[in-house]
Amino acid sequence: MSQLVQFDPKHTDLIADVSFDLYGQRLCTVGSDHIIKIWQLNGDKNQWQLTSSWKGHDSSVTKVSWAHPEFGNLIATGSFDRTVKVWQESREDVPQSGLGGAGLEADANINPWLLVVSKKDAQGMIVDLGFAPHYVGLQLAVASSDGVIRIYETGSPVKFDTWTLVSEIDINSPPVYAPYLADTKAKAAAPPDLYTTTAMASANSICLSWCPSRFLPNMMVVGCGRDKDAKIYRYVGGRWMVYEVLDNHEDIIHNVSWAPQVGRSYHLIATASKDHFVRIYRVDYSFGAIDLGDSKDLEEEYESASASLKLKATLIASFEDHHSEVWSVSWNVTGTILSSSGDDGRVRLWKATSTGEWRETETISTDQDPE
Amino acid sequence: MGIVWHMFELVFINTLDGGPFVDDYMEWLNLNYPAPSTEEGEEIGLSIDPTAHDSYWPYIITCVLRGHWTVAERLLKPLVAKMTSQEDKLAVSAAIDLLYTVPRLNQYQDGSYQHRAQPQPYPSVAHFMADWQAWKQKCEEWSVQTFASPLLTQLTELFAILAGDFATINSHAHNWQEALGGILLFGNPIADVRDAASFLVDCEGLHGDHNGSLEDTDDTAPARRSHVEQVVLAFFQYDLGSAIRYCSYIDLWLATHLVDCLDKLGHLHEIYENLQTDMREYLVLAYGEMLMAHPSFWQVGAQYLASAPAKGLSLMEEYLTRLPLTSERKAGKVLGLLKRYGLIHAYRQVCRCLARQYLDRRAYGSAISYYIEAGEPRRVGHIVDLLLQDYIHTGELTYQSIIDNLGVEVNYSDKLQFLSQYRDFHEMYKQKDFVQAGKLLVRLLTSNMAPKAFWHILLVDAIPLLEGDLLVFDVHETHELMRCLEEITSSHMRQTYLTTFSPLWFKIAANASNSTPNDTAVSEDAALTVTANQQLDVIRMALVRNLARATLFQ
Repeated sequence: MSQLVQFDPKHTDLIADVSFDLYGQRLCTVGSDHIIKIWQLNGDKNQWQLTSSWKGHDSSVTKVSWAHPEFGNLIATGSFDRTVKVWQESREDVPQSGLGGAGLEADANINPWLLVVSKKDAQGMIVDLGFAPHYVGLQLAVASSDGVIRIYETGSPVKFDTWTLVSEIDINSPPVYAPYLADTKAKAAAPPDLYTTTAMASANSICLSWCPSRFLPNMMVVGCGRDKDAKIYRYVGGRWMVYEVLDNHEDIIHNVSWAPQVGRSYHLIATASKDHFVRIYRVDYSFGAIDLGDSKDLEEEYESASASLKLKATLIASFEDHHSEVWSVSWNVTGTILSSSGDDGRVRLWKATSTGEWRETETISTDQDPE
Repeated sequence: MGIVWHMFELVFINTLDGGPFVDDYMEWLNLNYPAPSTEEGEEIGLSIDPTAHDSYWPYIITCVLRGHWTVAERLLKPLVAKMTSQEDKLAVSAAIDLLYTVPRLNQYQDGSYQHRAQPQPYPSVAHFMADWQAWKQKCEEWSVQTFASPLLTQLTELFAILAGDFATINSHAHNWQEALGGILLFGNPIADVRDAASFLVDCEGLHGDHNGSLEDTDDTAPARRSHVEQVVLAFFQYDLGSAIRYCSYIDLWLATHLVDCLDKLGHLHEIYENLQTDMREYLVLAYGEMLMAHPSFWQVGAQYLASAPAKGLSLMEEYLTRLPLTSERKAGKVLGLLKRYGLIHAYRQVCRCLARQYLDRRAYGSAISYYIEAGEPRRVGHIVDLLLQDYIHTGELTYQSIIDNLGVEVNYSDKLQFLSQYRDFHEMYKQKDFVQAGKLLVRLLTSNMAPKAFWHILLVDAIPLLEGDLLVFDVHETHELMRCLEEITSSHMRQTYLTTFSPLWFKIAANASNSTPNDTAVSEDAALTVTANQQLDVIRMALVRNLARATLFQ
């Protein structure tokens, strides 16, 4: 069933990140050559065509993320130069013939992607970023190697030229635990010297993934570098509190991915770690009391009951098949297939069987020839 | 695939009454594994001496095993004439006669028994069994005899088959399917499905050591048993788990629908009770997902997903919102499906995406409609502002057609209503219905429907009405207009009000009055305010004059 389409993106240096838009029809590649490239899938020929290419930053571009199309064509890029930039494609400047995706290469000198905003609050390079689920509005979380995740928000519903820093998660300071965790976790907390400034000097590796569920808004999982664990943070009462810790990692986490919930009564989170393991956690949630009786609006009910939210994470699968550092994990749209990639040059796909057991279903090798 | 489906029907649906299986089975066999071939039969029939043809006997025996007795009879007839001895002649005739008189159970049950030799209908299975035993007895007698003619060496075998000898049947059958057919026909004609399954052990073809005794061994039977055979065997053994597994190797469609039917028949429950999984849901979703990924079958896929009770709708929501909205028609289909299944969040989300697409292309009318559908008053308001800006910059009511197309939906938001009524004002003015136009203008201002930043534009619009020959505004209305004027000029937000919507003609005037063109934006704003103030003075004068006239008139 595997179809492989190979193309040369013609980046002159390493490609640091790729990102599909919601529809999987467009692709953005960014690289250490400071260049951002946008590709469009030509469905008839099953080929990716370059539509735009421009120098986006003054240093290596590390991450890219597409916003939901309800905000138009919007991408955010992060770089070693400590800036995060938001780019918007303005269609009116594109020649009409370009809408089909054909013949755009000739017009590459007219770049329809305009810089909307550039933010340089970070004290270190940008290591990860992600747009929040679309129903909370246009929010962007940016993780930087200074150990801080900054969350930006835009106020206007249609124009996105003003972004304000609304909240921060500082990994370097001791985390604030949710009330029900405070007792157990505070005692087991790492020795305070871990949070000193000397520790901060070394580059920190952090990664993040928003919770995509409408019923658990303002929540994200964060891979906390030297802590060798991932924490689930929730924005409550003006600050980010830790609601659960995904432990059992033996080394730092390179990447986290929160699966779409689609019909499951629990959540799944995957982590990619330097310790060669891909792990899948099952996260169950419970509310103190949820009254689904009167209100028609389920979301409101969850909202009102959310004060008593509790999370419980269990490790349900771990795989060492890469036998080398695992760099990235990513879920499919329904949260049924997990893909992971590692230093062994393979992308591995994992799927649950009808009995709920996770197994490897396919391996894609980088030196595999396209069929 | 049809083979499996047909067998499924026989095993699980037709046999609910537990009747004999043989007729159904023979139908399935002859339909799905047709043999012997018609071509072969024609070849034999057309040859000068059919009885001397190489495949004469194999052909007859296959016919017999398959229940094509009339054909076998017809082929045997020329043989009678070739026999030299009387006994041999008799034997061949006996064979013909036996084939002619095979008792068939269905002839005993449905009452329409038309057998030529036995005109009396048999009332019951017991009668049938009696006849059957008698008939079989005759076959057995013949099968132990030997014949003089070398042509008749195979005739003994034929009798043995008729007598229901498993070993002979097996040695002549091309595959296990045919062997089972023979065993059912001549060994146990009243067996039901379960009994039939027990005869499988007697079919040698199944044990893997069967070498076709005839040259034209069925080429379609591979060394390793095919998935289709596996499924059929699993059906016989009532091993639904492996049946489903093999089905999914053949085709996902088959597995999905098979499981669906099994579920409806209540069989599925028994097997998967202990597994805690819903096989039907799993397969329906798998198949639906496969279709969803297809550029043209996604609508069918959605139907499949919808039939999965637990996760179907959430999956559908996820997939439908990710379909590229490449055309208005496709978007309509997506929205239709989402609405039909009550996926309101997804519906709104798709509307917002569409609206955004139209907004990017400056198709404001469509954008407004979709934002209204999505329940987004803020965004509609923003577009209205854009339209007003457009008007002020160009001096033309570009949005006329948009408002007309919206129809009753203009009542959706205050801003849209204002837009619509402001359009009406211009219409009335054009038609020289000054009094009505004036009344509408006052209403727009006093009801706070118009954005404050737009008030000075409205007041400017009032000037021609104030200065006209006809008295439009009475004392009260003039007072109202004056109040509005004072409200914006005395407000602390005066500068914002006056510059947010600064018409093109203001800017030109401002630039003309501004001696240094390289001034900063702030001073440009100031200049604009000055121009606006001049304009407001004109209004004030007009209002005062009008008040005087109105007072006199009263």
